[in-house]
Amino acid sequence: MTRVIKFLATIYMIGSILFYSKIIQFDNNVSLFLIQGDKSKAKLILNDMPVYKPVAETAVSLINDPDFPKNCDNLMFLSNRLREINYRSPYAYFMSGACKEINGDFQGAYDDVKKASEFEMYNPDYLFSLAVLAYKLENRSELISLLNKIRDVNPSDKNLKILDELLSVKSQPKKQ
Amino acid sequence: MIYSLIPIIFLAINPMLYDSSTIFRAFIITLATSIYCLINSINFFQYKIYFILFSIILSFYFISSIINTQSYADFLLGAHGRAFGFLTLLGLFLIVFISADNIATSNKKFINFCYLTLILALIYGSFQAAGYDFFEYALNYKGIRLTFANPNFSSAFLAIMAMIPLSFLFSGNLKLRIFHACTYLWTIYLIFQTESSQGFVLVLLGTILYSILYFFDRKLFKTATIASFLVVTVIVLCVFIYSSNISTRLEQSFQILGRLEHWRISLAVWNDHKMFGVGIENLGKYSGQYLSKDSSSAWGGYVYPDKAHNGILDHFANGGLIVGLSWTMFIVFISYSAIRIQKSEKNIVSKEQARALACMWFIYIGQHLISTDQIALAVIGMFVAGAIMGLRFKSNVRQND
Repeated sequence: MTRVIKFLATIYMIGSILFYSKIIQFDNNVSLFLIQGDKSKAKLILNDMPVYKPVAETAVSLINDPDFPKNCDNLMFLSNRLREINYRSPYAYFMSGACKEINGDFQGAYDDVKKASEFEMYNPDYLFSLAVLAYKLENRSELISLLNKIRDVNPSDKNLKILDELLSVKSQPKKQ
Repeated sequence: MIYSLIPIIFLAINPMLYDSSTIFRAFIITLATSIYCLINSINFFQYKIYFILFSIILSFYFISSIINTQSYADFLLGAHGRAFGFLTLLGLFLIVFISADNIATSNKKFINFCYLTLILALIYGSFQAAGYDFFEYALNYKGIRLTFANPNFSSAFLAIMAMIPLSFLFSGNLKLRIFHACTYLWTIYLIFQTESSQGFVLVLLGTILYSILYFFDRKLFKTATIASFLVVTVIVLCVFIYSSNISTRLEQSFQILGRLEHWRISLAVWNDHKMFGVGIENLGKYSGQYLSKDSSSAWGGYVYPDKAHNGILDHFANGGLIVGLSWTMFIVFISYSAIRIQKSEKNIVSKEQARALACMWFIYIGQHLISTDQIALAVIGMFVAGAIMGLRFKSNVRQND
């Protein structure tokens, strides 16, 4: 029994050293990218350890970077990587929805962002995106419903004015 | 020497990492415990019931990770910033057995290393209170943080460790008693500097508990219990009578509604994943689905809890029914043993040390039930649990001899 325990302890020790040395190196890269702004580390982080939270923060940071090309290839790469690590990732669905919107597939985009919204029910960004997509799909009742939901969650949300304007544009009679 | 892990874990932060406070600690826990098991032998079967409980917890978490298709890194490491994954949990369980094995021969070392850790914390905390620090912490909190990155954890740590100098107040010569009294009061001062209410409440309850245990086998036990109950009642009544806007103040100090919401969310998550939970440290990936509109408004719409703010509910939500029940049983057994060792006449440690261990355990559990656990606090909690377990076992063996 002692031999079995020592054998298991050896595996535990070697496994821990290998695992944590990789994790520490990974987390150092995350620190360099997210805190010190070293953009060269982004690709390393995305392709390295499947630790969801820092990978998701890296992906979101890239999306928010004005210099990052937000084309479908990049969006789907990020989306697929996040979904590999966490099949429930709302960011993954949001990014694939963004790609579909670029391609003009508004219904597909709406379905993906709706999925993201199911995992983070009151995220104002997802609600706003859904509202804009509902406008593009000419679904007025859904637009009103989402507008009311956003207003319920945060009456001073900065996007409410934009949505109110969209709604007033929709309600104006078409000139003949 | 295994107890030297306590000050090492307290100091083990790495500011070069994004998660400066937990990853390095998790690594040290797994490395130290695995090396200990290689060099020494532990008779796990002496502590059968705990071995069974821990085996059940680890097995079910492993099964849960497969059912919930958890990534291997998240399973082994845990939630980023918490690091309570499978490897850490295994290390913490090993600490319980290691502490149990060593308490009989090294109880003085355990107390000495705890005291050393407290002194280091007091020195560093005083620097922080004076506005000097070696590290730049993000300005999310006002109070001092020691090496925990969060003043709530710091205050809980100080409350637990305050029981050590308190226990020395009742023995030794006058000069030593004065030294211990000063250390205790210095600890209380730093708890106030954390600006965290839970530390103050925990140390107050710990001190009252110590007083009750002091009279445990004395004629004045009933008097002491009633007096303690009256003191607490008077304090509570004074707070209610003389404080205006008491509910607002209580909410600001203790975030009661927020904690209740965390508990509700974790129960709702568990309700939908009763048998195997959502995976170890995986609550954060599910909580967004169960958030209420009011909480979302209060928390800004982007905050999704990754912890239940109750260790037992965490295990229910993450590991399922069997894991939650096993963890609860572990806590109940150790708590019962903590009381039983007060009565034992065949203890290896002094009565003061037995009281200190019990108070440290109950303060740790108090924090565990109303707040998130932290890896360094868990190390101390598991060392204390193991010490209590070992003492109970040894005193039973002596009684049977």
